[in-house]
Amino acid sequence: MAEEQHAATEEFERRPVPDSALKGPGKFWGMYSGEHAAGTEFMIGPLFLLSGVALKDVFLGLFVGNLLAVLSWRYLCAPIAVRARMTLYYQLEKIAGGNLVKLYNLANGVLFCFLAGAMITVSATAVGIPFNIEMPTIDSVYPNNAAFVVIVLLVGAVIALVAAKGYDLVARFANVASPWMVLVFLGCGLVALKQIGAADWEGLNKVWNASITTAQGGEAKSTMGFWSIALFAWFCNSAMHIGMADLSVFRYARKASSGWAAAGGMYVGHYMAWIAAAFMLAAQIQATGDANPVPGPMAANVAGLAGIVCVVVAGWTTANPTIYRAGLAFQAMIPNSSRTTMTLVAGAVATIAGVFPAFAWKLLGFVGFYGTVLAPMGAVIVADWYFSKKAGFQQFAAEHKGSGFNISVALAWLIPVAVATYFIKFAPEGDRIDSWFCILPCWIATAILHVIFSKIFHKTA
Amino acid sequence: MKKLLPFIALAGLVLTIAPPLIHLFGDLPVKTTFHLMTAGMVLWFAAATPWLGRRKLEPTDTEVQI
Repeated sequence: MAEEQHAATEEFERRPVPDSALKGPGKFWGMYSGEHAAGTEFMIGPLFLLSGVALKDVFLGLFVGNLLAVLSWRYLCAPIAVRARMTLYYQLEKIAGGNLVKLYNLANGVLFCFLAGAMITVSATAVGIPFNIEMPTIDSVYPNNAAFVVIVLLVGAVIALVAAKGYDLVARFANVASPWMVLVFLGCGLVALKQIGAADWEGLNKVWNASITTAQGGEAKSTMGFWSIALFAWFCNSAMHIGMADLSVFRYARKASSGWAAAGGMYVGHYMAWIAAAFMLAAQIQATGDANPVPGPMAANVAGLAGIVCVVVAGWTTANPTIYRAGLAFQAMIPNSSRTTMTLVAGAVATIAGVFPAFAWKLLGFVGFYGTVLAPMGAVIVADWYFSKKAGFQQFAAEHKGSGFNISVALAWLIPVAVATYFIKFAPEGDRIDSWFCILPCWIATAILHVIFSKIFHKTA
Repeated sequence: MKKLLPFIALAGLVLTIAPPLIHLFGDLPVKTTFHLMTAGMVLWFAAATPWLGRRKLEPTDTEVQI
Protein backbone atom coordinates (compact mmCIF):
# COMPACT_ATOMS: atom_id res chain seq x y z
CA MET A 1 0.00 0.00 0.00
CA ALA A 2 2.70 2.44 1.04
CA GLU A 3 4.78 1.68 -2.05
CA GLU A 4 1.68 2.23 -4.23
CA GLN A 5 1.22 5.62 -2.59
CA HIS A 6 4.83 6.44 -3.26
CA ALA A 7 4.36 5.43 -6.89
CA ALA A 8 1.45 7.86 -7.13
CA THR A 9 3.71 10.77 -6.14
CA GLU A 10 6.20 9.66 -8.77
CA GLU A 11 3.67 10.59 -11.48
CA PHE A 12 5.48 12.51 -14.24
CA GLU A 13 8.67 12.54 -12.15
CA ARG A 14 10.83 11.78 -15.16
CA ARG A 15 8.86 13.28 -18.01
CA PRO A 16 7.16 16.63 -18.61
CA VAL A 17 3.62 16.95 -17.28
CA PRO A 18 1.21 16.41 -20.23
CA ASP A 19 -1.51 18.94 -21.10
CA SER A 20 -4.21 16.55 -19.82
CA ALA A 21 -2.84 16.81 -16.27
CA LEU A 22 -2.65 20.62 -16.10
CA LYS A 23 -4.64 22.49 -13.48
CA GLY A 24 -6.25 25.92 -13.30
CA PRO A 25 -5.24 28.69 -10.90
CA GLY A 26 -7.94 27.84 -8.31
CA LYS A 27 -6.12 24.65 -7.37
CA PHE A 28 -2.96 26.60 -6.55
CA TRP A 29 -4.75 29.31 -4.56
CA GLY A 30 -6.37 26.61 -2.41
CA MET A 31 -3.13 24.75 -1.93
CA TYR A 32 -0.97 27.73 -0.96
CA SER A 33 -3.60 29.36 1.27
CA GLY A 34 -3.94 26.20 3.35
CA GLU A 35 -0.39 24.89 3.44
CA HIS A 36 1.29 27.98 4.86
CA ALA A 37 -0.75 27.95 8.07
CA ALA A 38 1.64 25.45 9.64
CA GLY A 39 3.25 24.60 12.95
CA THR A 40 6.18 26.93 12.25
CA GLU A 41 3.87 29.97 12.34
CA PHE A 42 3.21 29.42 16.07
CA MET A 43 6.93 29.96 16.71
CA ILE A 44 7.98 32.60 14.17
CA GLY A 45 5.62 35.45 15.20
CA PRO A 46 6.51 35.26 18.92
CA LEU A 47 10.23 35.10 18.07
CA PHE A 48 9.87 38.49 16.31
CA LEU A 49 8.54 39.97 19.57
CA LEU A 50 11.37 38.42 21.58
CA SER A 51 13.87 39.89 19.10
CA GLY A 52 12.55 43.33 19.99
CA VAL A 53 11.21 44.23 16.54
CA ALA A 54 9.20 47.49 16.42
CA LEU A 55 5.52 46.80 15.72
CA LYS A 56 5.44 48.98 12.56
CA ASP A 57 8.48 47.09 11.24
CA VAL A 58 6.59 43.83 11.75
CA PHE A 59 3.58 45.07 9.75
CA LEU A 60 5.57 46.84 7.00
CA GLY A 61 8.49 44.40 6.85
CA LEU A 62 6.17 41.42 6.47
CA PHE A 63 4.12 43.23 3.83
CA VAL A 64 7.20 44.03 1.72
CA GLY A 65 8.97 40.70 2.32
CA ASN A 66 5.92 38.62 1.49
CA LEU A 67 5.34 40.68 -1.67
CA LEU A 68 8.91 39.97 -2.77
CA ALA A 69 8.36 36.27 -2.05
CA VAL A 70 5.20 36.24 -4.20
CA LEU A 71 7.04 38.04 -7.02
CA SER A 72 9.82 35.44 -6.78
CA TRP A 73 7.31 32.61 -7.23
CA ARG A 74 5.49 34.43 -10.03
CA TYR A 75 8.43 35.70 -12.08
CA LEU A 76 11.29 33.26 -11.32
CA CYS A 77 9.83 29.87 -10.44
CA ALA A 78 6.51 29.65 -12.29
CA PRO A 79 7.76 30.76 -15.77
CA ILE A 80 10.45 28.04 -15.85
CA ALA A 81 8.01 25.50 -14.40
CA VAL A 82 5.36 26.00 -17.09
CA ARG A 83 7.91 25.88 -19.91
CA ALA A 84 10.01 22.92 -18.72
CA ARG A 85 7.20 21.09 -16.82
CA MET A 86 9.79 19.09 -14.85
CA THR A 87 10.42 18.56 -11.14
CA LEU A 88 13.35 20.34 -9.51
CA TYR A 89 15.11 16.99 -9.11
CA TYR A 90 14.78 15.91 -12.74
CA GLN A 91 15.82 19.31 -14.10
CA LEU A 92 18.73 19.47 -11.65
CA GLU A 93 19.79 15.95 -12.57
CA LYS A 94 20.10 17.05 -16.22
CA ILE A 95 22.38 19.91 -15.17
CA ALA A 96 24.22 18.58 -12.13
CA GLY A 97 24.10 14.80 -12.51
CA GLY A 98 22.33 12.18 -10.40
CA ASN A 99 25.03 11.88 -7.72
CA LEU A 100 25.14 15.61 -7.02
CA VAL A 101 21.33 15.65 -6.83
CA LYS A 102 21.60 12.90 -4.20
CA LEU A 103 23.98 15.12 -2.20
CA TYR A 104 21.56 18.06 -2.47
CA ASN A 105 18.73 15.73 -1.48
CA LEU A 106 20.70 14.47 1.53
CA ALA A 107 21.35 18.05 2.71
CA ASN A 108 17.62 18.67 2.27
CA GLY A 109 16.77 15.51 4.24
CA VAL A 110 19.09 16.31 7.15
CA LEU A 111 17.73 19.87 7.42
CA PHE A 112 14.16 18.52 7.19
CA CYS A 113 14.88 16.26 10.18
CA PHE A 114 15.70 19.27 12.35
CA LEU A 115 12.69 21.22 11.06
CA ALA A 116 10.50 18.21 11.89
CA GLY A 117 12.17 18.06 15.31
CA ALA A 118 11.11 21.64 16.04
CA MET A 119 7.56 20.74 14.98
CA ILE A 120 7.53 17.71 17.29
CA THR A 121 8.52 20.09 20.10
CA VAL A 122 5.63 22.40 19.11
CA SER A 123 3.10 19.54 19.16
CA ALA A 124 4.47 18.20 22.45
CA THR A 125 3.89 21.55 24.18
CA ALA A 126 0.17 21.12 23.45
CA VAL A 127 -0.03 17.38 24.16
CA GLY A 128 1.61 17.99 27.54
CA ILE A 129 -1.05 20.47 28.75
CA PRO A 130 -3.60 17.90 30.07
CA PHE A 131 -0.79 16.22 32.03
CA ASN A 132 0.21 19.56 33.55
CA ILE A 133 3.88 19.02 32.75
CA GLU A 134 6.49 21.71 33.19
CA MET A 135 7.18 23.34 29.81
CA PRO A 136 10.67 24.28 28.58
CA THR A 137 11.62 27.93 28.92
CA ILE A 138 13.21 30.18 26.30
CA ASP A 139 16.58 29.72 28.04
CA SER A 140 16.36 25.92 27.82
CA VAL A 141 18.81 24.35 25.40
CA TYR A 142 18.27 20.94 26.95
CA PRO A 143 14.93 19.52 28.16
CA ASN A 144 14.23 20.66 31.71
CA ASN A 145 12.21 17.66 32.91
CA ALA A 146 11.72 13.95 32.20
CA ALA A 147 7.97 14.24 31.58
CA PHE A 148 8.54 16.60 28.63
CA VAL A 149 11.08 14.17 27.16
CA VAL A 150 8.58 11.31 27.44
CA ILE A 151 5.86 13.37 25.71
CA VAL A 152 8.27 14.35 22.89
CA LEU A 153 9.35 10.72 22.42
CA LEU A 154 5.73 9.55 22.26
CA VAL A 155 4.68 12.32 19.85
CA GLY A 156 7.77 11.71 17.69
CA ALA A 157 7.17 7.94 17.64
CA VAL A 158 3.55 8.37 16.51
CA ILE A 159 4.52 10.89 13.81
CA ALA A 160 7.39 8.68 12.55
CA LEU A 161 5.21 5.55 12.45
CA VAL A 162 2.43 7.35 10.56
CA ALA A 163 4.98 8.82 8.12
CA ALA A 164 6.46 5.35 7.59
CA LYS A 165 3.00 4.06 6.60
CA GLY A 166 2.93 6.58 3.74
CA TYR A 167 1.82 10.13 3.10
CA ASP A 168 -1.77 9.35 2.17
CA LEU A 169 -3.59 9.49 5.52
CA VAL A 170 -1.92 12.62 6.87
CA ALA A 171 -2.05 14.44 3.51
CA ARG A 172 -5.81 13.85 3.47
CA PHE A 173 -6.12 14.94 7.10
CA ALA A 174 -4.01 18.05 6.41
CA ASN A 175 -6.29 18.96 3.50
CA VAL A 176 -9.31 18.64 5.80
CA ALA A 177 -7.71 20.57 8.68
CA SER A 178 -6.17 23.50 6.81
CA PRO A 179 -9.27 25.77 6.35
CA TRP A 180 -10.10 25.28 10.03
CA MET A 181 -6.50 25.96 11.13
CA VAL A 182 -6.44 29.25 9.20
CA LEU A 183 -9.55 30.42 11.06
CA VAL A 184 -8.20 29.25 14.43
CA PHE A 185 -5.05 31.33 13.83
CA LEU A 186 -7.27 34.34 13.05
CA GLY A 187 -9.47 33.62 16.08
CA CYS A 188 -6.40 33.36 18.33
CA GLY A 189 -5.23 36.77 17.11
CA LEU A 190 -8.66 38.36 17.72
CA VAL A 191 -8.97 37.02 21.27
CA ALA A 192 -5.36 38.03 21.98
CA LEU A 193 -6.18 41.57 20.77
CA LYS A 194 -9.10 41.67 23.20
CA GLN A 195 -6.85 40.48 26.05
CA ILE A 196 -4.26 43.12 25.13
CA GLY A 197 -7.09 45.63 25.49
CA ALA A 198 -5.70 48.30 23.20
CA ALA A 199 -8.24 50.71 21.70
CA ASP A 200 -6.02 52.09 18.96
CA TRP A 201 -2.60 51.80 17.28
CA GLU A 202 -0.89 53.87 20.00
CA GLY A 203 -2.27 51.61 22.72
CA LEU A 204 -1.26 48.47 20.82
CA ASN A 205 2.23 49.85 20.25
CA LYS A 206 2.55 50.65 23.97
CA VAL A 207 1.58 47.09 25.00
CA TRP A 208 3.92 45.65 22.34
CA ASN A 209 6.88 47.72 23.58
CA ALA A 210 6.07 46.88 27.22
CA SER A 211 6.00 43.16 26.27
CA ILE A 212 9.46 43.46 24.70
CA THR A 213 10.78 45.21 27.80
CA THR A 214 9.34 42.50 30.08
CA ALA A 215 10.63 39.70 27.83
CA GLN A 216 14.12 41.17 27.80
CA GLY A 217 14.23 41.61 31.57
CA GLY A 218 13.90 45.41 31.64
CA GLU A 219 15.85 46.19 28.49
CA ALA A 220 14.33 46.94 25.09
CA LYS A 221 17.05 45.89 22.68
CA SER A 222 16.17 45.17 19.06
CA THR A 223 18.18 42.57 17.16
CA MET A 224 15.92 42.70 14.09
CA GLY A 225 14.79 45.78 12.15
CA PHE A 226 12.67 46.40 9.06
CA TRP A 227 15.11 44.80 6.63
CA SER A 228 15.63 41.75 8.82
CA ILE A 229 11.88 41.17 8.88
CA ALA A 230 11.46 41.87 5.16
CA LEU A 231 14.36 39.61 4.19
CA PHE A 232 13.26 36.86 6.57
CA ALA A 233 9.72 36.95 5.13
CA TRP A 234 11.08 37.01 1.57
CA PHE A 235 13.45 34.10 2.11
CA CYS A 236 11.57 31.97 4.66
CA ASN A 237 10.47 29.81 1.72
CA SER A 238 13.49 30.64 -0.46
CA ALA A 239 14.21 26.95 -1.07
CA MET A 240 10.76 26.77 -2.68
CA HIS A 241 10.71 29.95 -4.86
CA ILE A 242 14.22 31.18 -5.79
CA GLY A 243 15.46 27.69 -4.86
CA MET A 244 13.01 26.26 -7.43
CA ALA A 245 11.65 23.36 -5.32
CA ASP A 246 8.17 24.52 -6.35
CA LEU A 247 8.94 23.70 -9.98
CA SER A 248 7.42 20.40 -8.80
CA VAL A 249 4.18 22.27 -7.99
CA PHE A 250 3.89 24.80 -10.83
CA ARG A 251 4.78 22.27 -13.55
CA TYR A 252 1.07 21.41 -13.30
CA ALA A 253 -0.01 25.05 -13.90
CA ARG A 254 -1.56 26.04 -17.23
CA LYS A 255 -0.02 29.49 -17.06
CA ALA A 256 2.79 31.16 -15.12
CA SER A 257 0.20 33.58 -13.72
CA SER A 258 -0.77 30.77 -11.31
CA GLY A 259 2.36 31.89 -9.44
CA TRP A 260 0.28 34.71 -7.96
CA ALA A 261 -1.44 31.99 -5.88
CA ALA A 262 1.54 32.08 -3.53
CA ALA A 263 0.04 35.36 -2.24
CA GLY A 264 -2.65 33.26 -0.55
CA GLY A 265 -0.04 31.44 1.50
CA MET A 266 2.08 34.47 2.22
CA TYR A 267 -0.62 36.88 3.36
CA VAL A 268 -2.65 34.25 5.23
CA GLY A 269 0.14 32.16 6.75
CA HIS A 270 3.13 34.47 6.82
CA TYR A 271 1.31 37.73 7.55
CA MET A 272 -1.94 37.13 9.43
CA ALA A 273 -0.80 33.96 11.26
CA TRP A 274 2.64 35.33 12.25
CA ILE A 275 1.10 38.55 13.58
CA ALA A 276 -1.67 36.61 15.38
CA ALA A 277 0.93 34.34 17.02
CA ALA A 278 2.99 37.38 18.06
CA PHE A 279 -0.11 38.94 19.65
CA MET A 280 -0.71 35.66 21.51
CA LEU A 281 2.67 36.04 23.21
CA ALA A 282 2.11 39.76 23.89
CA ALA A 283 -1.23 38.90 25.56
CA GLN A 284 0.44 36.17 27.63
CA ILE A 285 3.23 38.51 28.76
CA GLN A 286 0.72 41.22 29.67
CA ALA A 287 -1.46 38.78 31.64
CA THR A 288 1.18 36.73 33.44
CA GLY A 289 4.62 38.21 32.72
CA ASP A 290 5.58 34.84 31.19
CA ALA A 291 7.67 35.49 28.06
CA ASN A 292 8.23 31.86 27.09
CA PRO A 293 6.89 31.36 23.55
CA VAL A 294 5.55 27.85 24.23
CA PRO A 295 2.84 27.30 21.59
CA GLY A 296 0.54 24.93 23.53
CA PRO A 297 -0.13 27.15 26.55
CA MET A 298 -0.18 30.32 24.38
CA ALA A 299 -2.91 28.87 22.15
CA ALA A 300 -4.84 27.45 25.11
CA ASN A 301 -4.87 30.93 26.65
CA VAL A 302 -6.64 32.48 23.64
CA ALA A 303 -8.64 29.64 22.07
CA GLY A 304 -9.06 26.93 24.72
CA LEU A 305 -9.31 23.34 23.51
CA ALA A 306 -9.56 24.41 19.85
CA GLY A 307 -6.22 26.21 20.22
CA ILE A 308 -4.55 23.19 21.82
CA VAL A 309 -5.81 20.86 19.07
CA CYS A 310 -4.71 23.38 16.42
CA VAL A 311 -1.13 23.37 17.78
CA VAL A 312 -1.01 19.55 17.78
CA VAL A 313 -2.46 19.31 14.27
CA ALA A 314 -0.28 22.12 12.86
CA GLY A 315 2.91 20.58 14.27
CA TRP A 316 1.93 17.09 13.18
CA THR A 317 0.86 17.98 9.62
CA THR A 318 4.11 19.92 9.13
CA ALA A 319 6.38 17.26 10.65
CA ASN A 320 4.79 14.36 8.81
CA PRO A 321 5.56 15.22 5.15
CA THR A 322 8.92 16.58 6.30
CA ILE A 323 9.92 13.21 7.81
CA TYR A 324 8.45 11.40 4.79
CA ARG A 325 10.55 13.52 2.41
CA ALA A 326 13.67 13.10 4.58
CA GLY A 327 13.12 9.32 4.51
CA LEU A 328 13.00 9.36 0.70
CA ALA A 329 16.24 11.38 0.62
CA PHE A 330 18.01 8.89 2.90
CA GLN A 331 16.66 5.97 0.89
CA ALA A 332 18.12 7.49 -2.29
CA MET A 333 21.55 7.59 -0.64
CA ILE A 334 21.60 3.93 0.41
CA PRO A 335 21.04 1.41 -2.41
CA ASN A 336 18.45 -1.32 -1.69
CA SER A 337 17.35 0.30 1.60
CA SER A 338 13.66 0.22 2.42
CA ARG A 339 11.69 3.46 2.44
CA THR A 340 9.93 2.43 5.65
CA THR A 341 13.22 1.86 7.48
CA MET A 342 14.72 5.12 6.22
CA THR A 343 11.56 7.04 7.20
CA LEU A 344 11.82 5.58 10.70
CA VAL A 345 15.50 6.62 10.82
CA ALA A 346 14.51 10.17 9.78
CA GLY A 347 11.74 10.10 12.40
CA ALA A 348 14.19 8.97 15.09
CA VAL A 349 16.63 11.78 14.23
CA ALA A 350 13.76 14.30 14.24
CA THR A 351 12.44 13.00 17.57
CA ILE A 352 15.86 13.24 19.20
CA ALA A 353 16.16 16.81 17.86
CA GLY A 354 12.67 17.53 19.22
CA VAL A 355 13.82 16.67 22.74
CA PHE A 356 16.03 19.77 22.61
CA PRO A 357 13.77 22.85 22.68
CA ALA A 358 16.64 25.04 21.46
CA PHE A 359 15.88 23.91 17.87
CA ALA A 360 12.41 25.48 18.17
CA TRP A 361 13.71 28.65 19.88
CA LYS A 362 16.32 29.10 17.12
CA LEU A 363 13.80 28.56 14.33
CA LEU A 364 14.42 31.98 12.67
CA GLY A 365 18.14 31.31 12.27
CA PHE A 366 17.50 27.71 11.23
CA VAL A 367 15.00 28.65 8.51
CA GLY A 368 17.50 31.21 7.17
CA PHE A 369 20.29 28.61 7.18
CA TYR A 370 18.00 26.12 5.41
CA GLY A 371 17.48 28.71 2.65
CA THR A 372 21.19 29.55 2.51
CA VAL A 373 22.11 25.90 1.85
CA LEU A 374 19.29 24.93 -0.53
CA ALA A 375 18.19 28.07 -2.43
CA PRO A 376 21.44 28.50 -4.42
CA MET A 377 20.65 25.32 -6.38
CA GLY A 378 17.76 27.32 -7.83
CA ALA A 379 20.30 29.83 -9.13
CA VAL A 380 21.95 26.99 -11.07
CA ILE A 381 18.62 26.19 -12.73
CA VAL A 382 17.88 29.86 -13.50
CA ALA A 383 21.39 30.53 -14.89
CA ASP A 384 21.31 27.33 -16.95
CA TRP A 385 17.85 28.13 -18.32
CA TYR A 386 18.36 31.79 -19.22
CA PHE A 387 22.11 32.22 -19.85
CA SER A 388 23.43 29.00 -21.44
CA LYS A 389 22.81 30.18 -25.03
CA LYS A 390 23.82 33.82 -24.41
CA ALA A 391 26.98 32.90 -22.51
CA GLY A 392 27.84 30.01 -24.83
CA PHE A 393 27.87 26.98 -22.53
CA GLN A 394 26.11 23.64 -22.74
CA GLN A 395 22.60 23.59 -21.24
CA PHE A 396 21.84 20.41 -19.25
CA ALA A 397 25.56 19.61 -19.25
CA ALA A 398 25.40 16.44 -17.13
CA GLU A 399 22.78 14.88 -19.39
CA HIS A 400 24.73 15.91 -22.49
CA LYS A 401 27.98 14.37 -21.21
CA GLY A 402 26.37 11.45 -19.40
CA SER A 403 27.99 12.60 -16.17
CA GLY A 404 26.72 11.69 -12.69
CA PHE A 405 28.53 14.54 -10.95
CA ASN A 406 28.97 17.93 -12.61
CA ILE A 407 31.93 19.45 -10.77
CA SER A 408 31.20 22.98 -12.05
CA VAL A 409 27.75 22.91 -10.41
CA ALA A 410 29.19 21.46 -7.19
CA LEU A 411 31.76 24.26 -6.96
CA ALA A 412 29.23 26.99 -7.88
CA TRP A 413 26.94 25.72 -5.11
CA LEU A 414 29.34 24.79 -2.34
CA ILE A 415 31.82 27.71 -2.47
CA PRO A 416 29.23 30.43 -1.63
CA VAL A 417 27.47 28.11 0.86
CA ALA A 418 30.78 27.37 2.65
CA VAL A 419 31.62 31.09 2.91
CA ALA A 420 28.12 31.90 4.18
CA THR A 421 28.20 29.01 6.69
CA TYR A 422 31.44 30.40 8.09
CA PHE A 423 29.88 33.84 8.62
CA ILE A 424 26.64 32.39 10.04
CA LYS A 425 28.08 29.74 12.37
CA PHE A 426 31.84 29.96 12.85
CA ALA A 427 33.03 33.58 12.53
CA PRO A 428 34.09 35.43 15.72
CA GLU A 429 31.00 36.58 17.65
CA GLY A 430 31.04 40.19 16.42
CA ASP A 431 31.55 39.23 12.77
CA ARG A 432 28.66 36.79 12.50
CA ILE A 433 25.86 37.54 10.04
CA ASP A 434 22.20 36.58 10.48
CA SER A 435 21.42 33.74 8.09
CA TRP A 436 18.61 35.55 6.24
CA PHE A 437 21.13 38.19 5.05
CA CYS A 438 23.24 35.48 3.36
CA ILE A 439 20.63 33.90 1.08
CA LEU A 440 20.50 36.50 -1.73
CA PRO A 441 24.30 37.00 -1.95
CA CYS A 442 24.74 33.20 -2.02
CA TRP A 443 22.10 32.82 -4.73
CA ILE A 444 23.64 35.55 -6.93
CA ALA A 445 27.18 34.23 -6.37
CA THR A 446 26.09 30.70 -7.34
CA ALA A 447 24.44 31.97 -10.55
CA ILE A 448 27.60 33.90 -11.55
CA LEU A 449 29.92 31.02 -10.65
CA HIS A 450 27.75 28.54 -12.57
CA VAL A 451 28.07 30.69 -15.71
CA ILE A 452 31.85 31.12 -15.24
CA PHE A 453 32.56 27.45 -14.44
CA SER A 454 30.25 26.22 -17.19
CA LYS A 455 32.04 28.43 -19.71
CA ILE A 456 35.31 26.83 -18.57
CA PHE A 457 34.17 23.19 -18.33
CA HIS A 458 31.21 22.98 -20.75
CA LYS A 459 31.83 25.55 -23.49
CA THR A 460 29.76 24.99 -26.63
CA ALA A 461 31.52 24.88 -29.98
CA MET B 1 -27.09 13.38 4.36
CA LYS B 2 -24.14 13.64 1.96
CA LYS B 3 -25.51 16.90 0.55
CA LEU B 4 -25.76 18.35 4.05
CA LEU B 5 -22.06 17.79 4.88
CA PRO B 6 -20.77 21.03 3.27
CA PHE B 7 -23.40 23.06 5.15
CA ILE B 8 -22.57 21.40 8.48
CA ALA B 9 -18.86 21.94 7.82
CA LEU B 10 -19.48 25.58 6.95
CA ALA B 11 -21.44 25.98 10.19
CA GLY B 12 -18.38 24.59 11.99
CA LEU B 13 -16.18 27.25 10.39
CA VAL B 14 -18.68 29.98 11.32
CA LEU B 15 -18.66 28.71 14.92
CA THR B 16 -14.86 28.83 14.84
CA ILE B 17 -14.47 32.44 13.74
CA ALA B 18 -17.70 34.21 14.79
CA PRO B 19 -17.22 33.83 18.59
CA PRO B 20 -13.74 35.47 18.61
CA LEU B 21 -15.16 38.32 16.48
CA ILE B 22 -18.11 38.81 18.86
CA HIS B 23 -15.73 38.51 21.83
CA LEU B 24 -13.52 41.28 20.39
CA PHE B 25 -16.23 43.66 19.23
CA GLY B 26 -19.03 42.67 21.63
CA ASP B 27 -19.23 41.17 25.08
CA LEU B 28 -19.20 37.41 24.56
CA PRO B 29 -17.44 35.92 27.62
CA VAL B 30 -14.11 34.27 26.93
CA LYS B 31 -15.21 30.86 28.31
CA THR B 32 -18.26 30.84 26.02
CA THR B 33 -16.00 31.81 23.13
CA PHE B 34 -13.77 28.80 23.82
CA HIS B 35 -16.77 26.42 24.13
CA LEU B 36 -18.26 27.64 20.85
CA MET B 37 -14.89 27.31 19.09
CA THR B 38 -14.64 23.73 20.38
CA ALA B 39 -18.13 23.00 19.07
CA GLY B 40 -17.08 24.52 15.72
CA MET B 41 -14.03 22.25 15.65
CA VAL B 42 -16.14 19.13 16.29
CA LEU B 43 -18.67 20.11 13.61
CA TRP B 44 -15.95 20.90 11.07
CA PHE B 45 -14.03 17.66 11.47
CA ALA B 46 -17.20 15.54 11.70
CA ALA B 47 -18.54 16.94 8.42
CA ALA B 48 -15.42 17.91 6.48
CA THR B 49 -13.64 14.57 6.95
CA PRO B 50 -16.19 12.53 4.93
CA TRP B 51 -16.70 15.51 2.57
CA LEU B 52 -13.11 16.60 1.78
CA GLY B 53 -11.15 13.60 3.04
CA ARG B 54 -12.19 11.38 0.14
CA ARG B 55 -10.98 13.73 -2.56
CA LYS B 56 -8.22 12.43 -4.80
CA LEU B 57 -4.81 13.49 -3.54
CA GLU B 58 -2.73 15.67 -5.81
CA PRO B 59 0.99 14.91 -6.31
CA THR B 60 1.64 18.36 -4.85
CA ASP B 61 0.11 17.31 -1.51
CA THR B 62 3.42 15.86 -0.32
CA GLU B 63 5.40 19.06 -0.90
CA VAL B 64 6.80 20.56 2.30
CA GLN B 65 5.96 24.21 2.93
CA ILE B 66 7.18 26.22 5.91
